[in-house]
Amino acid sequence: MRNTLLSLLPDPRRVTRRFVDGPCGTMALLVILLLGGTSCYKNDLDVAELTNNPFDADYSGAAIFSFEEVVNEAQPVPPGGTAQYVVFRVNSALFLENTSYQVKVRDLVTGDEDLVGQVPVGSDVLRYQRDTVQFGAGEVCLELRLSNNLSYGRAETLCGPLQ
Amino acid sequence: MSTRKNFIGISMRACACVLLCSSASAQSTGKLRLLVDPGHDFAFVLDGKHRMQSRELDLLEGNHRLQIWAPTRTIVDTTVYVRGGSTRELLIRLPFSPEYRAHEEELRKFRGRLVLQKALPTVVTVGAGAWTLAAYLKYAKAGKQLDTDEELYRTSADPAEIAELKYQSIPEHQDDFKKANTMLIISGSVFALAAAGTIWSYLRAGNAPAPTFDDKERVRFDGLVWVPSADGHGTWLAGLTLPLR
Repeated sequence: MRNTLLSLLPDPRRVTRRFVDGPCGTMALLVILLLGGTSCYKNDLDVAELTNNPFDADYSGAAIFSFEEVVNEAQPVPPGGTAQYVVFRVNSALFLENTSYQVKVRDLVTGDEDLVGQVPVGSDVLRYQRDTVQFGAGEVCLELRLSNNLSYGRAETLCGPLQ
Repeated sequence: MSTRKNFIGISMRACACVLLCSSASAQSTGKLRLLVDPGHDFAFVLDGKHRMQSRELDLLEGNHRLQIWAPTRTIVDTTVYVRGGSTRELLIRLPFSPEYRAHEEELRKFRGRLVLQKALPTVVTVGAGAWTLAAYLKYAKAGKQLDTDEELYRTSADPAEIAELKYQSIPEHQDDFKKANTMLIISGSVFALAAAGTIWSYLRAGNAPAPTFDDKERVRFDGLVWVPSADGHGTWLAGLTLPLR
């Protein structure tokens, strides 16, 4: 019985020779080339893990803004008076690509909002001029967001002492 | 008495004359032109004695037996009367032999099996290969799109663009990638199965011997002729078909 079954199988050497020489070999070679020539892609892009771009509203990295100082400047031209600036720094080293930007500022004391640009261009030290000047021992708090094309990134709150 | 002798003499002369005349008329030859289909390789046996391959014959006047044969055809046995001093055309189409008809049918079936065993699986494999290639190109495009999305996230400084990318584009592209990946797995599996089936089919088809034609009419035709040998005894010819591989 065993011999009968074995006799049904083709001669391995003959099969190998045919396989290598014949169209089967060509086909197998094509299959190997096709499989070998392909590169695999991974679907390992996790949206929840994309949080390292400071312009992302879901940014979860280090603080982007740092308080510098509050500056009171006398206005030389009429009507005169004093202008109050809150100076803060943008940590552009956190940016994944070098880029220009604006900062959306909301004064948490007065509720005023403004969009502050880089002056001069490329500067990372920005000045926000308060509409309502306050003096004394209090502090000023701002909500800051990186901005471009009228859309805004993560909000950070920055507080500093008044002058 | 002399009159009787003269009569007998005249009668004998007349008989001799008739005999001579009839002998002279029997010796006159005519031409026989053979127009045979197939015209290139037919042979014939003339009057049961001479095996020949000729398109034109000079024959004595009278009936002649012709047994005409060609490979794959059946022997046609016919008698033709050749008139002296004239040319006669014999138009004959040799019919295919029943063995050849059977062989043709067998060959047709064999080729059909070959088509079924080789061409069909090959076509299926090529089709599956094309499908796999198309699926891979789509998969690669979807994969590259995700890479592009990741790069765009890295380079973008537009919060709105980033939000759209994260909550709309990337999920859509991930869905596309997942579908493309599934399609690639399916098509790749079909392709692998088809390729394996084709290889197996080729091996199987390679083992089957092609049918060979055994021309029995040729054996019969060869047996019709007696060819004298050098010692005058002669031999009967017979044919045998050996399939050469």
